[in-house]
Amino acid sequence: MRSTIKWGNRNFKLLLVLLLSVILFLTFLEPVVSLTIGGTSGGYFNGTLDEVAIYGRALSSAEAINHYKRGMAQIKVDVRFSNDTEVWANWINYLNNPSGIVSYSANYSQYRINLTTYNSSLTPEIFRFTLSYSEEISSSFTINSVNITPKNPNRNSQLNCSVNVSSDNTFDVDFLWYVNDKKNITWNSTVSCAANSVCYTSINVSNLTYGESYICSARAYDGSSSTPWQNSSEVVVNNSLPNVTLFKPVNGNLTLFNRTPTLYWNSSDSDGDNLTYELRLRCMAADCGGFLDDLIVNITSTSYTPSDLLQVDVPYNWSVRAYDGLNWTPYTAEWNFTIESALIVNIVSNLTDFGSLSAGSTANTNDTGDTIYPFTVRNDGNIFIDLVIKALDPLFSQAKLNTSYFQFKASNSSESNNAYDYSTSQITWANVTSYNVTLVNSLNFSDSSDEVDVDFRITVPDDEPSGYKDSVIRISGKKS
Amino acid sequence: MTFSNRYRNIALFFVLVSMFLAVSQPVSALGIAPANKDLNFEPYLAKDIRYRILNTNHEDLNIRIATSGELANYIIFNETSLHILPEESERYVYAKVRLPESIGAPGPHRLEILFYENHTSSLVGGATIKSSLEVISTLTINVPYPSKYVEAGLYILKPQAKDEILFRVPVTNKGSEDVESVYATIDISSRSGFIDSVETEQSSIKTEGAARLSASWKYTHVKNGTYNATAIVDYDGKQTKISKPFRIGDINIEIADVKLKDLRIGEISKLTILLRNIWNEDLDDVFGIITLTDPSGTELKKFKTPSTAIKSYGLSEIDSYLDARDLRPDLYTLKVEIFYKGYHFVRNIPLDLAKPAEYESPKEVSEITVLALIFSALNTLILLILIYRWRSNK
Repeated sequence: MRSTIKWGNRNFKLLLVLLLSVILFLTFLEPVVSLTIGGTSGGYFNGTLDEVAIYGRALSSAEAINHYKRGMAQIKVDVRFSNDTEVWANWINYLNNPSGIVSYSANYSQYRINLTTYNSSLTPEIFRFTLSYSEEISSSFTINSVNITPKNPNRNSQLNCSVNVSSDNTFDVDFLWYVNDKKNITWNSTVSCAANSVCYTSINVSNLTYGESYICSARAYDGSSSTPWQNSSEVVVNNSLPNVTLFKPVNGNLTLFNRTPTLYWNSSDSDGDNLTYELRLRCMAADCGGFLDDLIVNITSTSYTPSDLLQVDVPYNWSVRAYDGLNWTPYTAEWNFTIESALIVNIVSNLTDFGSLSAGSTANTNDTGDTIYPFTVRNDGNIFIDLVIKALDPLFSQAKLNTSYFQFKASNSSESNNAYDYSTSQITWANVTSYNVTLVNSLNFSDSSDEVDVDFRITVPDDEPSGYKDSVIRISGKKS
Repeated sequence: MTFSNRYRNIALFFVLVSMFLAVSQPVSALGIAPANKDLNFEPYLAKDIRYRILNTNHEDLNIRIATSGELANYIIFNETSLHILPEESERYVYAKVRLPESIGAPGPHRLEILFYENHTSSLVGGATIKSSLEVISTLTINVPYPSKYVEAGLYILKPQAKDEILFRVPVTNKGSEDVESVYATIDISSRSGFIDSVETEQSSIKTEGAARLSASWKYTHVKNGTYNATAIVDYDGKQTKISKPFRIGDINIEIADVKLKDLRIGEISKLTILLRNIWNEDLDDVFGIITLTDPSGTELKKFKTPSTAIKSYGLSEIDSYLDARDLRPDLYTLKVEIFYKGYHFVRNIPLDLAKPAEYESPKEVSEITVLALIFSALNTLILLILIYRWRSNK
């Protein structure tokens, strides 16, 4: 069926209303209208807006709270660093960093973002995360190393701190020291340095104490920025033990002469300490004759002469150790020596000339003053000796040996008293014989008392023909 | 210078040279090292020994070597006649010792090696006596004793600590068997008898070996004097003894008092010196030398006193006289020196002769004297009281 539209009828009226609605709708919706947030055409809000969202409807109060809760307060960003991706530093809360900037010098960084909500029914999402960085510190201004020299100091060392800095410009370095982990301002210094140089403290640390630890800390400043403080490795003041080496008599010397030999050694100490020594001297034989057989003595010099005599023909061992005020060194390996018994007879005056004598006359060396000399015998060896005497030939042709015509006796030398045993020596006139008889016993070898005179008395037989007369007297010495 | 003067001068020169040659004394020295050597006997022992002939005076020496003793045939030198030049300070010679299977009785067998100057005689003139030198080195060969046998020594060494004496007892095993246990007991005694005893450690000694035993003795209440130590060495049930005297402290004589009776200028006064022997032995032949000096130190008088003997810990007086007849009033010093053998004790006494008076050296009042005086006073008091009562009763 086909209908006909007429203004006057009811269908026509409905058609007009519909048409007007469309026009009105198009009139109100179609035109583009500018929307301004945070400001008007006359000015803007001076601040920051976030959590901006546009809904096509009005939100309920609960929806508005949830929107807030999904905001930035629930985003937590952490960062950590590593140079090798194996060992990581602790996480740092990025947003809680006061400066809002994380400074680091590591090769790698790792970020962690946590979104949390108070309502488990909510499902917050991150649509976009932007990471940006800027290199705040110039890579050409860094401290490469801080070092203390010497690395193994002793008490007499002087510590110096050096800093190796990479810098295109000149810079200053502040030095400070830690002693036993406590800052010590005594040696604080600031040094101006050339670009890319190694800088040294201007004050050396001295008067070190054994056992103390030292750390040097340094910071560079180039006029605009400073490096962080950087510490050196710790150095500890050590005590270097002295070194002792025996010098002489050389090990195994078997022909020493002096009964009180001086023992020498050398020593060195890198600490430069004043050293004292302990010497041990031991007679290695069971029977050392009552002479020095075991001695331990403290000495400040590097030599020692025993005050007591040592025994002859037995080995002595000796060694030395040193003390530097803190520690003793071990004893050196023992050296040995032997003083060889030496029998040396020295006839200082070995010619007695009586000059011309008449038959029947008597002369002797004992009371004739200085004109007729006796023999003077000296013990130049290192042991007590006995002397015996005999004539190799008679003095007179008319008087045999072992007669009163030719006699001898021992007497004190002008140089020595108490040099021999008077009680067993021949100190009164006795006949010179062709065989050995005692002259003196126990003639001392000490320089102050080692001489004896041998006096002679001769009587010219009445019938002795004139002419030169002589006799050779043999004096034999052997160990007492 | 005339011809005759020239000859006179030449003659004078020769006379002077002759006198110099006659007066100058030649020097000759000879030495040998070692001076002795010990070997332990073993059948067919072969041993080489080195000797050093010492030319300490750097002389031209002609030396001969010879041996003497029962074992002289068992030692041979590489050379027996040597000419040592002045530039040689020593010359080594070597001996070969070649022993037979046995050499007789146990004990030491000594042979002497003689190094002597081969003297050439030359007449000097008149009656002259010249010297020829010989030095003798002894070689001792010890034949072990059968079974167990030791020889011991005893040495008294310097004290290691105050009031301490160290005894060393070297013991040498000269037997044919090892000694399992050896120790020594050392008895210390004085003239008045036994004082103390100390014992050494124990040891063992292989044959031909030796041990050094030691013991120290602390003495605290022993007076200075001479003592005797006897080491009784006990080895596997056998014993040997050795004794030695030793001293504690040193001989000391105290000049206890010096009295000058009625010393006056112009007179001779008796001088008495009281001496005390602080030693545990009697001392003989003790004498003094008295020296009087004026204030300037000039020695005016010096004389020796008679000698005296002082018993151990006893007192003795020496009387002598001081002649003051030629002295003027002044302040003098009397030096009293006491001599005993090598010992010497001195006391200086000021003599004030400006005020002549009897001089006695200051004396200390002993406690005994004080007690005796108090006792006497009490006795007198009691006696007086008794007399008083007796009279009162009368």
